[in-house]
Amino acid sequence: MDTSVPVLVVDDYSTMRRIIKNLLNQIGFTNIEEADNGAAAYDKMRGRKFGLVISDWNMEPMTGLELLKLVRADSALKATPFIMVTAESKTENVVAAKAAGVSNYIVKPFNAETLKTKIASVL
Amino acid sequence: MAGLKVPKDLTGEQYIAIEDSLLSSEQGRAFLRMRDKRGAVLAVDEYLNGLRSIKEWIERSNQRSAEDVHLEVLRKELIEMAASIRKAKVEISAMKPAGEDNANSARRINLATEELDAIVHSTERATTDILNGAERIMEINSRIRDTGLLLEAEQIDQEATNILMACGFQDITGQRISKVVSTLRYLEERVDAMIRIWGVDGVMPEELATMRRDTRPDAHLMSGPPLRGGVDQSTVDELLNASPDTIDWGAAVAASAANAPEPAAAMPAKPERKAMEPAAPDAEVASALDQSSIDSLFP
Repeated sequence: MDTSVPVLVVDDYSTMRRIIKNLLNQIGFTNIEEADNGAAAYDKMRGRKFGLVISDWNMEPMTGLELLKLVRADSALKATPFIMVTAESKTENVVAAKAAGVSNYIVKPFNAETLKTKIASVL
Repeated sequence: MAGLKVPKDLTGEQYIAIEDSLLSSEQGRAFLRMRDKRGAVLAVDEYLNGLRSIKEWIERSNQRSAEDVHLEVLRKELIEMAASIRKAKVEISAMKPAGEDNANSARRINLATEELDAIVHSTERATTDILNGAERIMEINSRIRDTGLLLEAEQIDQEATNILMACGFQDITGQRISKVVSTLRYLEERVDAMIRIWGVDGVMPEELATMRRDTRPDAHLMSGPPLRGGVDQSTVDELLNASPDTIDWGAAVAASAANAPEPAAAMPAKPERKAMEPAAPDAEVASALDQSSIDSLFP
């Protein structure tokens, strides 16, 4: 697993961004940026190439699913690994995310081991 | 017919005189018999007509009574509906009492919403403090690791990570509470709309007021943790340590008000952000997937 890639953590709860950032640090990632909604994340992605996006689903004004669809529709960004981390755990949510091209999906609350495993599976 | 004169009725004496005159001759007696027969026929006809009219009236009455039964049922239903609406109006008006007991209080639903907002913000502050602590432990642990205590450092790191992960509760509970807040706000809007339509604002029937009143002698002192207007520990300590004669109660109350936090309504609308995110209430549990089920979708 290449831990030198820049990672973008997208969540409207600063607590959750902080938790994920700490876990990423433990795994060995040091190049981490944050965004608090899909629109802000997309702006960052257009300005810089990220090797991994870890995003919440329910945010405003742009949700994680909208961000995912934008990323997959953008020829310059569509190959970016994208992990959804969300409390949305209904079947239709997972199916919709998969249809939109999500790389992996983590249900909140999650543990450190799950995050590590999922990151390893997409990098 | 202007010249035709209507004869007056006979007097009793005139009638008897004419009848006696007729009875005195054969033809007169025959005339009287014939007149009696015709009179009897006419009476029977009138009797039959009367019976027919009564029969028709009874038939019409029977038809009307069936309609009346339906009307009566409708009337009762309407009365019951009216009673239910009256009861609903009373209940709704009681939800937003404007009586003396609540003169300075916000509306109850508003209060509940503010309490929940306060919970979200309190847990957020607490979570931040816990995260700060966990991060400091990790920093210190890196120095412990440098001393060569690798196993201990690894264990401490593991525990610090567990603390970090446990802080994720704030996100989940925040979302759940935000859903409740959204529902309360929706209810409040609907109640407001009904109150406007029915014009029941401020109505508080005495029986409801009595029923809902806390009758404990110190009820007026119990309202739970204050959203605003509370005093801090140092003020409490000062009050406890001061001599009763030296306490300036007016100043103490003013200080308490000055220390009050901003109303919850003025706080950032962070809870709303998660209003649409389901937090897997019981009704949704059946359709929720666990992590292993999701993993099977990503071979």
